[in-house]
Amino acid sequence: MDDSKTVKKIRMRHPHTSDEVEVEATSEAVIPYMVKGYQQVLAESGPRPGDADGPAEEQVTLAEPEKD
Amino acid sequence: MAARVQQLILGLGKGKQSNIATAGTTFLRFMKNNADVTSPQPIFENDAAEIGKGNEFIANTYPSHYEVSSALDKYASAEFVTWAAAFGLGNVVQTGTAPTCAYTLTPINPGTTLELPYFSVCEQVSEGGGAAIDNLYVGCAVEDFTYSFNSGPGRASSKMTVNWVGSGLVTTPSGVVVPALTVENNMLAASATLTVNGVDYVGTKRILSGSIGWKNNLLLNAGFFPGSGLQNGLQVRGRMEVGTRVPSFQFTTRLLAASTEYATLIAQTTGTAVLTVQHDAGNIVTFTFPQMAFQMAKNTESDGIVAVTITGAPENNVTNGVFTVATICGIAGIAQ
Repeated sequence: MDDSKTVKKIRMRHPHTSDEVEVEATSEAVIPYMVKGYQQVLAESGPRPGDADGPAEEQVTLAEPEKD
Repeated sequence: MAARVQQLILGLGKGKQSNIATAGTTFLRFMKNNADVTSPQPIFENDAAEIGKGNEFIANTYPSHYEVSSALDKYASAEFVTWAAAFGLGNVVQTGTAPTCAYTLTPINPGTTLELPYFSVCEQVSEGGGAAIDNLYVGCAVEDFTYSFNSGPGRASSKMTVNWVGSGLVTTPSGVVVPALTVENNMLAASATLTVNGVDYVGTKRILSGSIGWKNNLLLNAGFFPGSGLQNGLQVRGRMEVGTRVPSFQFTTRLLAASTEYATLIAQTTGTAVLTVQHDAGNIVTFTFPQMAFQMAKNTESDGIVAVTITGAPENNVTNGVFTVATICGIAGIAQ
């Protein structure tokens, strides 16, 4: 699929080698890197593009699970 | 007083958990078809078989561990298929912005990790002004998912089932306010396109039904390792790693004089298999096996019509892997 109208390139990083590449944001381009274990580099902070979509979400504070 | 099962509110974690024991904080609310209600199942063992008590009966019980698992049987929507494949395969790339978020989903590389992204599951049932059920299952992973398409009218022509397993960690009450129902864009089988080994099965009006599956065979016992953790004195899992993963693809098609399935089977010809279903241009799912041979071709009949059921043998392609799901839907941040 081609969503190049909205995103041209994405960054991908291999978690072990830390090798980082910039890849065209299409399935055809990212799959060979995903197969090798590369993962998308997400923004360190702040909401992702499009996070405000869809039904409203509740941010909740959860109690830590009990541990004996 | 009592509660109907339709009152069940099901919230599935949207974002992946930071680790197996830390609950997710964002949820998507989905409907489902199966009436299963998940139980936090504490397992106790006993000493009935042990020698020295003077009889064969139970003298004591002992806390063992928690088992949590359940199933989701749903009409296939772009949103739910994206959720299931993202958590079921594990490596997720999302591009684009709402309402056109594009996902590329591939199996995790075992050289990188053996653990899938974990999600939380919230189940709530109101009753008599209170809650008959209000549980948050933390640290859950997809054991398997199956997309199936069939001839026939309606949403039942295109379904998605998921089996998931929990770490055993449960928070009651959940403390979660589950959001409004997700607006799902169902993808009817009538929208399908299917090409396997160069044969267009839809263009020739031959395809009848089929299914695509992925099973992680999670190493559940290995999750109870020394130090994995306790809850109410019972063991909980501290990890759930993938075992021997198995992709599957089976389809039934009308058998014609010009059918090539048997020849493809004998020659063990490999090619790509691509199934696409959609609701509209903004809600699409494409399943791809980059390299697949036929493992079996069995003649059969369907509604009195001679047919053949093909069982595929997905192979790993050095460049493109063994299985890919590419989707477009309106929800950002799934499994991220």
